[in-house]
Amino acid sequence: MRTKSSQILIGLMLAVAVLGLSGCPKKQAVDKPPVGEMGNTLNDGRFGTTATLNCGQGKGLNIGGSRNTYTVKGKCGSVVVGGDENKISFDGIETDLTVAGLNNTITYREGNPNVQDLGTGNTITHG
Amino acid sequence: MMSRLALGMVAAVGLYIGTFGLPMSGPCVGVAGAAPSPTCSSDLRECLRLSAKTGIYGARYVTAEDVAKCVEAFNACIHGGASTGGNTAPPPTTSPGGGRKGLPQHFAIDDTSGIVGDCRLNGDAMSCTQSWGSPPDWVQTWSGTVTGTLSGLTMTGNQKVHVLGDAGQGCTLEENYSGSVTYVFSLDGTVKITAGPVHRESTFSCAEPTSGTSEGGESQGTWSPIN
Repeated sequence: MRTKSSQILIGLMLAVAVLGLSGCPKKQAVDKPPVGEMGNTLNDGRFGTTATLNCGQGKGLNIGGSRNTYTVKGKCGSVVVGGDENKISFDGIETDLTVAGLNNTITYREGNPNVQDLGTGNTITHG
Repeated sequence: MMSRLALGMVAAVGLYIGTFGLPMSGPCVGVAGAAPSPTCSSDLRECLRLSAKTGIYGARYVTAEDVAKCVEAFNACIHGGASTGGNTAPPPTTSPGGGRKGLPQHFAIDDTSGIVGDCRLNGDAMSCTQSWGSPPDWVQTWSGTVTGTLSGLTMTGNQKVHVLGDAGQGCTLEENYSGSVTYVFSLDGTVKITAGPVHRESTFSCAEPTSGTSEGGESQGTWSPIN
């Protein structure tokens, strides 16, 4: 005849077996920043921000966020805008300007980049 | 009564194991399903949308790392031979994504708990057979299946898990879990897995059966084509 104590022991054995596993590591991970430079390319994933960025001499720039107002100093190499409704003013873009997002307003004063508008509603102005 | 309560408590804890191997840490933010995206640019927008997080003050953002990954996949897409307009066939690729649209017909999903899914696509119908290579010692057999519908890069479906285990003292435990599951695939070979709510039915050879429902949880895994 099984006693209450033995049944509780069964329960405790199972509890010990399962508790050895980790919790929700992904949920507890520290969030990484929305802005960072990787391989001579600036990556910006902010939303609703007004800021000045600096490409220096030839850094690439990837804009992944939306509804930002950016002034970009220096000469950018390749630029990719994947977000939407950004207003971005560049001193200069040297190599490529690719706009894949929607309803962005982009101006660049200097450079003769290969411009590709792959989104919709974008306004790209040179000068 | 006390024994039943004890076993019920244990069975609830045992959800940690049996519930698809996902930690039962409460609700995490899920991602809604995505619409089909036929172009490189729409894939990029989708990648960024799926990568967006909410900070502690409610501000939305994408990490710089995720921006870089999404743009890398985008550049591979547009430089792989497809037209910039995207109205051409997807280019070949050697990325883990297996193709501009991401998912091949036969692929594996590996979540961080060691559960591996062997998945096949038939149109938009997806099915996976799951196995757990290193379950806890008390688990004798563990098997799972996932069936669902793929829309864009998101699969919404159901998961079922069957567990047989040693409850000690010569007793056995059999559990059946079922619940909803969502896979959100990214072009960089990662997949976000959200499961729940999960319903459990437990049968003990030495005690009365129990049942319960839990919220589920979220984890991150990887996917890769199987040739």
